[in-house]
Amino acid sequence: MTTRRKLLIGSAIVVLALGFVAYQGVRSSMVYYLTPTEFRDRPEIRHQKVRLAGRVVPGSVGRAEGVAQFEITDGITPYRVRYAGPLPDLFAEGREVLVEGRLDDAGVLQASQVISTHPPEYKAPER
Amino acid sequence: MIEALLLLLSVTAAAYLLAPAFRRGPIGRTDPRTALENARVAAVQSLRDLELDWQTGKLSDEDYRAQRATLEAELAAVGRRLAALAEEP
Amino acid sequence: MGEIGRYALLAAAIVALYGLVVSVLGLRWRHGGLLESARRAVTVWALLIALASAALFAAFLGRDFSVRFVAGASETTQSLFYTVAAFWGGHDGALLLWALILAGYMVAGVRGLRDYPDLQGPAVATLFVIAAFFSLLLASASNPFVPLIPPPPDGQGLNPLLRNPWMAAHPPTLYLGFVGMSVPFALVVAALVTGRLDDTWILLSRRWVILAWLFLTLGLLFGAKWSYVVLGWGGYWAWDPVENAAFMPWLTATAWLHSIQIQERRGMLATWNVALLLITFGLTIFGTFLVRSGVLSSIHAFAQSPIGYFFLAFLAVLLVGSFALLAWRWDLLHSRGTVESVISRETAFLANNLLFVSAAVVVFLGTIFPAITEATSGVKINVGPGYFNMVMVPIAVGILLLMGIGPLLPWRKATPEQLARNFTWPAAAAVLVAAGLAAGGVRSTGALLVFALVVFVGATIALEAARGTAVRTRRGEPLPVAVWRLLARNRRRYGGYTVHLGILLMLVGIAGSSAFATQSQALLRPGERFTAGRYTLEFIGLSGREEPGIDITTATVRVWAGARFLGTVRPERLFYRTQEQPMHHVTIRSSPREDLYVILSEWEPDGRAMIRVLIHPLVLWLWAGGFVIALGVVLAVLPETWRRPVPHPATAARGLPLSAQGTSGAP
Repeated sequence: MTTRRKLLIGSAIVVLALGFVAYQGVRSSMVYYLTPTEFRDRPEIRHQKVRLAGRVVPGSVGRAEGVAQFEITDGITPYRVRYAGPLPDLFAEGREVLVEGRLDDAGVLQASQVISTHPPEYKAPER
Repeated sequence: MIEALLLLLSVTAAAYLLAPAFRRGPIGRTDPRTALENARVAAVQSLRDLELDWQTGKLSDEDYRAQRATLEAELAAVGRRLAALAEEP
Repeated sequence: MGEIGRYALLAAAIVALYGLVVSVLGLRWRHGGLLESARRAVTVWALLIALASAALFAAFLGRDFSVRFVAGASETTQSLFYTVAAFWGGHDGALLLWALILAGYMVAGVRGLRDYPDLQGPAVATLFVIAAFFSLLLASASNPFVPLIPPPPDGQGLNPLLRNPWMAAHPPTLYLGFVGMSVPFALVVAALVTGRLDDTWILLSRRWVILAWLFLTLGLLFGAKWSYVVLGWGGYWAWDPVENAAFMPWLTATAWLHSIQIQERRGMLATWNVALLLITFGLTIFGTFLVRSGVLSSIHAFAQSPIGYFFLAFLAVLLVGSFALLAWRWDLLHSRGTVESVISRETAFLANNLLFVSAAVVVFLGTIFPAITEATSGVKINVGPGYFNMVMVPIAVGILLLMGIGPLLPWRKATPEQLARNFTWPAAAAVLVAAGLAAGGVRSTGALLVFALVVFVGATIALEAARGTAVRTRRGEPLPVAVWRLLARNRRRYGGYTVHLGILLMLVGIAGSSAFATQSQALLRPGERFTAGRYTLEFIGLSGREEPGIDITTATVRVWAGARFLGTVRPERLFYRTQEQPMHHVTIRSSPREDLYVILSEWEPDGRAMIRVLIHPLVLWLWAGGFVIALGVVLAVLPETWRRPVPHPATAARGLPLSAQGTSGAP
């Protein structure tokens, strides 16, 4: 076997292995990213892990013993969210947030993560 | 006031830019010695690297001698071409 | 100020287009006068961009809120430092900074090509393509001097999250890295156009790429530090698309810096090196596009702003154009050598390239995955950090292994005896340390693997340096002289090893903090204590104060490690009134062993406060690694010529001064 062929076979093995790991990685970490209305209209992914983008409904935020409850909405569909963890700095009533989690049987989104959108430095210019 | 200054600036810049544009001249050529000199420096560097690799025990004596001969031949060839250019005016 | 700025940007756009047209015509007609005019246009363009930047600075310093960008990113209560940093605290100013940096690189790059007039012309034309694009953007859709009528009494202020020294330094550093790839890109295009595809372009671009690589590294680290200090979650890397945008060109540039060595030493991979540099430059533009177009939040950003289309069109022109040139010159890029043995440094470099480029592909796919799924199925599907970590950890382990093996392998081929001689001790040291750590209670397999490999690589570098020094001391040189001369005479090699050491330190920090981080929190009444790891914290109480525009609540917390009193920390929570935005001031007690990170999370009306404590082992080494990398790069790029005697062709032909000194030092 020539050196060149050995190298090619070695590279192919590495690439295939990495491809396989990447495929597994995608499968295990993929999250649907939608607006509350899009989520409501897709019952087939009702129990999947999702990331919803919406505005925090003013007056809906309640905190007790480290657990936060609030509602998010895209203006059409509201969802109740329950989150046990520290809320990000940019979190406030009326602000845009991303909420990642799963819907429980009562229709409350049990959040595993609440993310505020990036600082304006990174946002598209608003014209 | 500002407008006048900016106008003056524009005119100066335009004159500076356009001045050479009408003189038709040849494009400069890179001195062939530059490339050869670069090749010589690279070859010297390679030899020095090879030397250090051998001294620190990464190569067998046999491989070292063979590679050194190749590199020295390359260097000599570059040197001859440089010398030939130097003799030309 | 606004009108001077608008004038300068308009004039800059015209000059850039002029420079582009004149340089192309000059090349086509072989007209030296036109090329001289194009060179002058470089200077004029740079001065105009500098004038526009000066105008923006002046507008910020004079708090000229009739300029919308100034009103949007500063306010009267803002400190001088952040008023200056607000220059790049928003989209339009950031693009102007991009152009300003390009102006500096362009002047320096074109000057550096004085001795290569045939390459200079096409390089100027290429740089003007880039300059024209950014100038047009700045003069139209992203003009930072758009007036605001009527001017408001006060501005909106810089986003409080950006009011941090690391964030002030992050964009300029990152742009120095991104834009730094423009000069090498112009050089490789010039080489393709003229067909001068010997090693000259590599020689000329190498330093630019190393420099740009250093700035990319530092820019990434500054961003990580900012995230660690400011965002209040204790993390420094989240596989955020914005971070990935800068990470991808870093990966391919790293690959390039290794693969050119095969071309320099063995005359192989000429085509690959050209392609890799084109891709690296393309990724810097792609990164700017990702960050600046808003495509990250949604592909619908295209509908809202034309900038996305501008960037995509520009990127397409650059990539199609440059790869067409590569295809046209394909035949000139032949290989002079072949890989002779699988166990050789060539193979190590090839494997390095395979892994780095794979890493870039993995990051690229993960970053654009939502855009792909949104375009094909209408639903955005994100892949989380889980995906990146799963794939990048094995790649990083592979690269780490190569980092140890590669430098000790000779070119062409290695024999088993040499391998045994070179790898016995480092491998033994690695196994010993891993066993020791495991016995000491370290249970994370990943961390053990990384620590063992770090020891392995560190030992190979130490062994290599020791043997190099020994060669000199055997010749009778005193030890300090031997070390100094070894470093001074082989700067590129030891600069490279120093960079490797810096990477090792960073990996120690990353492995330590990701495998062993712990966190805990407690709702405490004043006077109550709680224990986190080996620390005991006592919450003393809350206090409030005001600064211009900011309400601040401070928690006073006393900290003990075991029975030893460490001191009092005061984490704060700030509320910026103008922006109605809360923010943390966390306190971090750093030591080589671990960081104690204390956060005031929230509080109840009755005076109880939620205190969060994170313990991050070894994080300090991540930042320390950055310093070591910078040192290594400086060592590697310092000119080697100052010691070399003036070359004389005749002596060069006969042989070398080193043959006299070298052969006596047989091992």
